[in-house]
Amino acid sequence: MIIAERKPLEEILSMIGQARSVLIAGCATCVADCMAGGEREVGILASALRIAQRQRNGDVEFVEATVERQCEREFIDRIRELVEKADIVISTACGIGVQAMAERYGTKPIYPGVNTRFLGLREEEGLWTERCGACGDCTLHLTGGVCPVARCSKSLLNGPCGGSTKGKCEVSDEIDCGWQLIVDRLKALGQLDLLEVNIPPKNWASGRHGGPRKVIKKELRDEKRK
Amino acid sequence: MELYIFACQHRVPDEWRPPFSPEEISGHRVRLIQLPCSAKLSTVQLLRPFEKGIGGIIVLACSESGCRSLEGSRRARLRVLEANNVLDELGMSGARVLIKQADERDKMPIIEAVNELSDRIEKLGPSEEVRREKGEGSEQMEKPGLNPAKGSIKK
Repeated sequence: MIIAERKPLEEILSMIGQARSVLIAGCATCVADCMAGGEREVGILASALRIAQRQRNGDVEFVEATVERQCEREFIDRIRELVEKADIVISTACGIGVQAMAERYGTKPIYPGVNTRFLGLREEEGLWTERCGACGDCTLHLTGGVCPVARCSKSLLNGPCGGSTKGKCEVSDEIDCGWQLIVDRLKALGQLDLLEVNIPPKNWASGRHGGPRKVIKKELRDEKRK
Repeated sequence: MELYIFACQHRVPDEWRPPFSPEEISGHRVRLIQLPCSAKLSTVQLLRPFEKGIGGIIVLACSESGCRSLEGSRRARLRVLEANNVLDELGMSGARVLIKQADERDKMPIIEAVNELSDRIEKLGPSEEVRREKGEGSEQMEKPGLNPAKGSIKK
């Protein structure tokens, strides 16, 4: 899932500016799972902003709404009335949700309430870690299901680099060496011979250096309907 | 000063059960909200009263090993931590939400908790922003307040 973190309150307050009515729009999918922008966090943010308003003798109205997924237009259409009434919208969805809202409501300022961090998973209570770099050219079948792009600090495709000690990366003692994880996993799978495979330089054409990416599934596109 | 007390039903003294509810403890207005378990308390419930300008909140939970819902008291502790972090960010630092975990339902520890929190808040004063707007200095905030008589309860 997409992992995000709420922005500092001061930064959010600076976005509000002269607005008198603010809609705080949450998303009940990824950012709810990582406890950054779901219904619960929308409530906390709205309450915090109301307390801040009280401190500043302001009279801004904060309205709360959370949709199932802000990255899907049919869901964000359901809060159209609230969006239209508000002066600005603080979206606690990931960057995709913020942009989906901005595209849907062309003349309404839509501001981000969270910083979108990475694609990852919840490792334990209150801890999320990165798992995928969305590089567009997956090599997980060669690396025991451990991503060298996201989990090796140097994103080495052919490792290890020699800088790890006792399974930890030289970048930080708190970071597991990605390639140690790969070797351990290949050993468990009985596939250590895969370490002999030289992964060729990545085809970064599928990365994001060529501009915004898109995925097209021709079989799902009804050209006649265009 | 107005204080809210959110209490697990197992921490409420018998004489404070409905329809009786204390309205004042040690000269402070209190609102006692009884919960089936402290885990029912959400972070936003701990923040909303501050929107109205209350002084602080006391959460009365069972001990973590004695919680009948197993996880309830631990979850309450984490939510108190989260609420205090938000208040810190707002310049209202100093743990204005106080949690007391214990396996007892006596009045005295609650009165002591009210005194502890009210003393703490009186020392802290209102948030930094409010003080700045009012042009108050830190020396003013450190002046001893008019502490109401401690230990008294008014229905």
